[in-house]
Parts: sequence; structure tokens; C-alpha cells
Amino acid sequence: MNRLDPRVTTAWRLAGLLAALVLTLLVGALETVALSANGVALPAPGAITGLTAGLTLLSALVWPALRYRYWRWLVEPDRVLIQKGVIWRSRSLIPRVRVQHVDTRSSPLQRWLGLSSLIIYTAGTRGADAEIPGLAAEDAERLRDELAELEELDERP
Amino acid sequence: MNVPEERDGWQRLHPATPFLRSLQFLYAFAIGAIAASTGVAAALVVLLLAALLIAAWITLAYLRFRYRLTEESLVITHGVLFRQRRVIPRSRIQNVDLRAGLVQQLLGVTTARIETAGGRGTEATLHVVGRAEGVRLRATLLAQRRPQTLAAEPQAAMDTIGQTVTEPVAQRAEHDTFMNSVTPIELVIAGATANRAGLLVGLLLGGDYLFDFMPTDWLLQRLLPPELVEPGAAVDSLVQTAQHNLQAFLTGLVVLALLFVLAGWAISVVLSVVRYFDFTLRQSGGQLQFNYGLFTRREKGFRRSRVQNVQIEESILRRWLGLASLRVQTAGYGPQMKSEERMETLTPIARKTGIPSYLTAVYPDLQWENVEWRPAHPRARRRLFIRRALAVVLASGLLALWLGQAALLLLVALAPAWLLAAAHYRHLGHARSADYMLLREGLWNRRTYIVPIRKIQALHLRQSPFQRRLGLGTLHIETAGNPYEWHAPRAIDLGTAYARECMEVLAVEVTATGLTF
Repeated sequence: MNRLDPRVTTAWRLAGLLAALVLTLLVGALETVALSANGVALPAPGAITGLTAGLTLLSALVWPALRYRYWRWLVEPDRVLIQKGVIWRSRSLIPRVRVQHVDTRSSPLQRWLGLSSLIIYTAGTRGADAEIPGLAAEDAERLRDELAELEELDERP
Repeated sequence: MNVPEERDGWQRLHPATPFLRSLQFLYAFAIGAIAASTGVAAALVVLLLAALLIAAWITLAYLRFRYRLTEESLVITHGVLFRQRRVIPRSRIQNVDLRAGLVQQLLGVTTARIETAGGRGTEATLHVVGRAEGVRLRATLLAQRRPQTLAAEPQAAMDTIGQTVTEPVAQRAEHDTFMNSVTPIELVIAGATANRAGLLVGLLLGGDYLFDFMPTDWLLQRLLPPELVEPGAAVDSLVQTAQHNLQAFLTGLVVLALLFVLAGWAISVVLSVVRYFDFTLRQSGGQLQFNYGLFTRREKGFRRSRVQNVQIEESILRRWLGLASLRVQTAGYGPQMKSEERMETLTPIARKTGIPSYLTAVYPDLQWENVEWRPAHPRARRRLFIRRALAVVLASGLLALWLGQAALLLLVALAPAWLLAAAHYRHLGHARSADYMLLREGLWNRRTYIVPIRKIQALHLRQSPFQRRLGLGTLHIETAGNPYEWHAPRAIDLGTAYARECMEVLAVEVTATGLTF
């Protein structure tokens, strides 16, 4: 089975760092406000903020590598297979006759890295399960067209 | 009965429409009137003007709203300022629901909602039409590409589509016709055996409020020496009782708890009767029709082929009594639809022996009696036990820290935990029968899912860390219109390799069914 484009870890890391920054600032602000309002002197001021910063930073740096390690996808003539999950594993199978439409999507960050996400929709409501997040933009487009083609072929008989 | 105005097949809504529309504004006006009466006269004038304007608007809207049935479609024109003409092709119409609230029932009218596939929600709402007209519309619109008017009332059948057919539905008896109605007594049983655990929990959480209605004082007066009773200070008295007479306190608690449970039960029964009053299900020529409700009367209908899966629900109480309830999951409602609207009750209550006839009404080719259930992987028993054992160990450990080592005696609960796990395991299962996949789970409330292979949209195998260690996985079968994951078809704890094999087999079969939805 195929892996994602390795650049996706960079995208995940950057997104994680951004989230870590926002969360740390938020917790820091809350802690400052809470301290100044109550006038309570904690034994270690800034400990909660520091802990938040440390944990979010660690997860932002380590988690993407793990996620990448367990991500696999495969487009076969009759099905799309997606396998993922570090702690909770999942393996999804979407028969290609059930594919309703296919999108590619890329965030500014992904565009900057030359990546794209492929999203496969079925009539099932949990379509988000069929998202392949980190593909090279040209691969994503090729796959999108390939998947759309089969739909048309099968509609004719 | 008021016959709607007719001109070249164009029809107006029921004349009661403006009246009902203005009723909707009544609340706003009542509030406005109260506000105005406290203050300036100018506010009253503004209010009156607004009332006139709205009345004029409602009347105009009523006069502008017209609909017409053609051979191909339902055409609606409406709009006061912006005129709109909407053409809904009949072939795209999935459901026609009739729904009448109490006032509408008294006036003999109903609201017709027309649902199509792929729409964002209700495609068109006819608010309101006469009841007979509603029934006629539904029958006509849902008749499968037959150039006929399937009128329930022959005199209401009209000549819009070039051919008048006066043959009532009942006379067109087809061999697969199925009909069933539920009596009030059966509804009481349904309510009494429903698994409304959530409701009970809600009652307990809201207990603080309910306390006011409970005869606490009355109880205390009987349990306490009279000098201690201070009416109005129920909670204080309770504490005093506890200090004074532990036995009386505990008795009081038990009585109160029983009252809570009884109240929850009574509510469940009332809800069941009100919601499903006079429930009838009809299946004829591939159409399923449901009529039910006391205050809000619902008449729904859709094609059998729209059913995505069927669910049989048996709470533990129902299993003992040999009862079950059945629901069908439909697609074709838009995402705006409330999730419970996508589930239609096939029957609120049925005897176990009656289940096959309901299933045949939906899936004529299903051989329910011949289904051979396969159990989950034997290691599932271990996982189900560990899950419960962890809770027991954790609880007794915490209690031991708090109350002393005596609490460790609670570890005896590990024995029933094993028995429960073993019982739970027996209720897990899956089976293949012709073109259907059947799945079953749940100890307290067992759910059985019947999924036609052709309705499968995607397959997922999920593994928690515990499952992975034991080489197990849960197979999820996704169909269209599943509102929530936890009430979706799944087979818990299959062996991983076996589950993968199942996925492969199913994938091939789904592909063979081709592009069907």
C-alpha cells in the first residue's frame, strides 16, 4: 500500500506548532488573569503555562511522525482502501461503485508545500473517513480524475 | 368539506390556511399587546398597523400559492413580491409526509411535506391542505410511474393528468399487501418496556426540582418523632432523620427512589401512547405507509426501496416478554432533517413471532427463520470481562482508600462481571442470508441490524488498543442516512483476519450490485 507524501509531516508539524502557540498564549493569559484577580501566590508561577507549552510542543513534533508511519492508502480498480490510526486503528474500504464524487482541496499551508487532499464522498454520512490528506498536488489531481472516470464508465451499461 | 378552488388543474391550499398562518403570529401579538397595554398608545397603533399588514400579506400569500399535478411533475407557483415557480419531477419524489397538529386535526386539514433525494431538506411544503386532498396527493405522487390517480377517495380523484381512475387502493389488493395496526394496550406495553434509561437519569438529575412534588413531608411525618418535623425544611429534616433514625432514613430513600422510577415509567407509557396512538402500517405495491399520533397526527409514506436498513430493538425486559420493536432507516431526507426523522418506526411493539411478517413487508426475499447466527470471536468474552473488571477494581480501590479495606470486599462483584460478560458475548453475532448482512449487539438493549448488500456504502474495520492486543476488531457497515455512529450496523469483536476477509467478500458483492442507491 502507498504512504502519504513525506512532506505531510511538515504540514502537520507546522499546524501543530501553530495550535500549540495559540493554546499556550490562551492558557498563559488565563493564568495571569486568574493569579492577578485572586492574588494567590502559586509555588511555581507559570507552571501550568509551561506544562501546556511543553506538552503541546512535544505532541506537535512527535505525533505527525507517528501518524505518517501508520497511514496507508491504495486505489484499486474496484475499491479504495485507507488504513490509519496510531492508537485507534482503522481500515476503510470504499467500493468504487459507491463513490459519488471526488474533491481535491488544499489549505494555504498545503499549497505552499505543494500538497493536496483528496476527499472521496459516498452517500454514507461519514464521508470524512475517506480523506487522503497529504498527497503531492499532481498525484491528487490524477487520482481525482481517475476515480471520476470509472463512475462515468459504469453509468452507461 | 371545503373543496379547494380549481382552475385548469391549478389548486389553492385549503381555505383555513390564512387562519392557521395568523395563529402562528398570535404569540408575538400577545406579547406585543401586553407590552403596549403597559405604556404608550402609539405602541398600540403600531401594533394594529403591523397586524393589518401581516393579515394582508398572509391573504395575498394564500391567493398567490397554487399547485398543479401534471403527468410528469408537481408544479407550485407562489410568492407575493418575488414570484416563484417550482417544478418537482415526480420521479425524484421520495417521501410525502402528512403531519397535522391538534388545531389542524380539529379543522380537518394537514401539512404535506414533499421530500426529494439530494435536496437540502423538505423540497416543498403545502401548508395546509384538506386531509382527503393530502391523502390523494400522497397516493398520486408516490404511485410508481403509473399514469393513474390512486385516490383513496374516488370523488376526490380529479382529472389533472388526463385520466381519471376511480379505483380505490384497497381494491388493488396485491399479493404482497401487508397491514398492521397497534392497539392502545400494546402501546402501554411498549412504553412500559421501553429502554428509556436516559429519561430516568434525567429524572434523577432533575430530582432537585421534582423533590417539590414528592411527598417528602408526608413521609417524614410518618417516620420521625413529631417534635423534629419542621414543614418546609425538608432537607434539614432529612439530615436530622439520618442522625436520629438511620433505618427510617433509608426506608424514606428507598420509597423516594421507587417513586422516581414509577414516575419515569408512567411518563414513558404516556409518551408511547401519545406518539404512536392509532399506529397503522400498510405495505402495498412496494409502498410503506405509516399513520400515527394523538396530538400530532403523522402520515408518512415512502418506497420500500428507500429503506437503507432495518433495526430490531429488544430491551432486556422485552426479551423476557418475547417482544420487540422495529425501525427502518431511510435516506432521501436532507441534512437539515432531525436525525430521529430518518428513522421510521416500523412498529412500536411486536411479538417475536410477528417479526418475520414485518421483515417480509420490507424485504420480501429475506429468509429470517433460516438465518444462522455466527458468534463473535471467543476472545471477545475476555475483552468484555476486562472492561467491566477494570470498573469494579477501580471503584473498589477508590472506596478502599476512602472507607478502609472492608471496601475491597466489593471485588466479589468480579464474579457477576464475568457472568455479564458471558451473557453479553452471547448477544453478539453476525450472519449472512442471501443478499443481506445481519448484525447484532447489546446486552441491556439488543439491536439487530439487517442491511441489504446493495445498500452498503463503505466498510470500516476499527480497533481499539485493547482489541488490537487480542487480535480483534469491530466491523462497521455504513449505509446512507446513518445519523449517528453508535446506532449504526456493526459487528463487535471479530477476529482481525476473519473481519478482513468479510470486508473483501462484501466489497466484491457490493461492486457486483453496480451503481444502485
